[in-house]
Amino acid sequence: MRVLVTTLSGHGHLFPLVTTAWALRSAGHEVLFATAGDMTAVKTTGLHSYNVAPGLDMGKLVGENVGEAFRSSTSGRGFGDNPGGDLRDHPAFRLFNGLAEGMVDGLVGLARDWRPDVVVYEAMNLIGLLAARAAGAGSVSHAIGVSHNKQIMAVFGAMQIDIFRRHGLDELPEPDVYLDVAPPSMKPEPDGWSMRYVPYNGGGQLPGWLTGRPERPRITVTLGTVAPMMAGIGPVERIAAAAAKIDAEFVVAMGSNVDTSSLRDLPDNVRLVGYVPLGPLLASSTAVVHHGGAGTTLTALDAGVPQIVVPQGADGPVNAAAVAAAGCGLNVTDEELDARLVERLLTDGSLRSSAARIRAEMRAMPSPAEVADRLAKNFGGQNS
Amino acid sequence: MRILFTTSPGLGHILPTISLAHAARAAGHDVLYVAGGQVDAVSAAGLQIVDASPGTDYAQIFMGIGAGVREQMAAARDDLSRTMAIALRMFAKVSEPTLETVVRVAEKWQPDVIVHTPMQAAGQLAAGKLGVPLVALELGMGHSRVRPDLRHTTYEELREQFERHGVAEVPNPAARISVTPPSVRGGEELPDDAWAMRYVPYNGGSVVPEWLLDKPERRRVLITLGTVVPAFGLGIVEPIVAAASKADAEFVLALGNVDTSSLGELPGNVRAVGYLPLGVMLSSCDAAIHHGGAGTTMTTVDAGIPQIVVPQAADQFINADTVQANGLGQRATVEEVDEALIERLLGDEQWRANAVRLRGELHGMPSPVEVVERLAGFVG
Repeated sequence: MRVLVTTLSGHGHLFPLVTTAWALRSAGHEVLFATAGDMTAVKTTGLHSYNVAPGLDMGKLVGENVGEAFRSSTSGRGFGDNPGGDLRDHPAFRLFNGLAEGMVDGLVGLARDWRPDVVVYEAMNLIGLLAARAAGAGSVSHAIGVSHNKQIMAVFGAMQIDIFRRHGLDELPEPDVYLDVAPPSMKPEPDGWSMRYVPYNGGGQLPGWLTGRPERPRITVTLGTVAPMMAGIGPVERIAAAAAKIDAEFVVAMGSNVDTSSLRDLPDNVRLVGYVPLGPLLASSTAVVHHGGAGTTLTALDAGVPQIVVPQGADGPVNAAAVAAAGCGLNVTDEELDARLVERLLTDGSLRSSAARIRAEMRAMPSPAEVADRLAKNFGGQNS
Repeated sequence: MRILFTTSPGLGHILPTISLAHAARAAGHDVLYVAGGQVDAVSAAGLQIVDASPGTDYAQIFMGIGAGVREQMAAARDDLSRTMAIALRMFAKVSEPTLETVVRVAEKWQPDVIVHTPMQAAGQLAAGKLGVPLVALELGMGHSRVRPDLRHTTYEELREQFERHGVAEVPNPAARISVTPPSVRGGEELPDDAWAMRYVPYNGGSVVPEWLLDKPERRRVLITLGTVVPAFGLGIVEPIVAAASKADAEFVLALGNVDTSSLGELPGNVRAVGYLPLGVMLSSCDAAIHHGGAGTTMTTVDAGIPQIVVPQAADQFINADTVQANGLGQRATVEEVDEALIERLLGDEQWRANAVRLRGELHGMPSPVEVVERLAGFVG
């Protein structure tokens, strides 16, 4: 069958659907990954992609709006903070509405030309529903976060309702299938089909120091692909200041475009690296400190290591709360982050056993390969 | 399950393994590559690799293989057994720079199973040393027609390294993955240790240009020579382009990111493109003319279109013969590709029917996802 996958192009939106796309492709289905803007990340997934808004200045649209949108959840303007207010006033509105407006015509046109049997869209990229409708295809909403749910996604739907009205719909249709990556402990009633999150964090050459066992316990520190640009690297500076007192080695994974000039005179047990795929890095780590990004959180849960989550914006607070509630991590502010808390990562047995339990739960969930098989039975018809 | 992949350095060896690696990830297994040469191809597929031979100049290694061996290969061209034996000798030298790193990474990473391409001796050495199952992935169809036991050849060439690592003999693979469709096997049963797998083309990711989604107005033929042949000069393309200029069709000349200016101004019905994944291009084509590389041949079979194959070296003669013997098209020399042959390529209904039938057969074979489930059996 033909599967059209569609997400926004940011890593955090795109990466969580890649393993699913691989599952479909390696079962022999045709897969086309539709996105817009910077195509660099999707090109190195090994998939075939299509730019649905080639003429648009996506960089400008994102650049003007993303900072305020990102910080809104930690500056008192989260989605739940003012339920009575007009969504159009929300800092995130211009960003997400703008992206949807920029992509919808190209996406619907592609669906009409390419005629997929099913459209798989990241849950907040609701214009996927319009693409499905245009092609007469099935529709699959694909969660990208462990604590994301229908209520949160409904807010994004409300942001895009004008687009749906233009296409003759007064309200958003329900997708045929929801895919939920939350393990049972964290969400006893999944939204739709449960699917194991299998991390995709980009391909790459692994450095030599990464393939063996480290001599001391290794703690990975990361702030993901967006937060450093939006909110600085404060938590990392605090870790660097505390590291010398802690009997562990620290790998600070900051990606390729971050200003790390404030990290001077790092102690011997702190290694600063550029972009390293998170999965392999955590496989050699005892614990992780991170910002609560959806993919980072899921990868940390999959790795089964205790976590400190220091939310910086976006859905950070929601993911941090979920990790803490599950007992496998601590939800802390920048100011609370100190050596004592980091030590707890190494010594707190209950954090570790909860982390191991959640990891086992995730690994027992239906794999992307199994879900792909189920999708083929549902939507493949004669063409699978 | 932890699966370590190790391949020979060229794209023709690396790319056919990617769909299986993706399938393994899709089932939630851990995957790592350790190989030399075109390591970026693995990164570009979204997978992780340790470079097994940084700084090694493989072009020099191939060039350094004496003229004597090249003559032997040329003389053996139609004989599968002899070709394989000579190739294994050649590739022992190609495997050599990777041996130490592959073993060391395998010892650190502790795979449950090692998957290798048939010419990559490091797979056998590492599997032998660790005592883990070895799985060989065959690159092309018909390659399992004759299966001489050539382990002694590999051992002779690399005796010093095998002895140093305490590996007394080259292990037999626990399984050989075969992409040969049933009818190409002549209806023969596969031996117990051979697993059929549908070849799912992977020729790189891409941003698809819009013109590939449009239905062409004329019949369209793809001309390609794979990833190695163009580096030796484009002279062999000239007669094909000349024939194309007279044909009632449009042609896509896909030679990769190669400078085609030596071909002069191309005829009006021939369009040169940069590197695009073969499968994506073939989806808009009615036929293909190519050199017979294993991956190119399999991708064309997957596209279900007839083929003219102009073999130049390596296993291309064998692949060309397989295409012709199965009624999918014809093996030819470059000079034999004329207007009449191109017209036959586009018009021969038997070739087309056979191509469609074989694609159906290919699609009915167990997918990489199913083969991964079988691999999991090694871990109990």
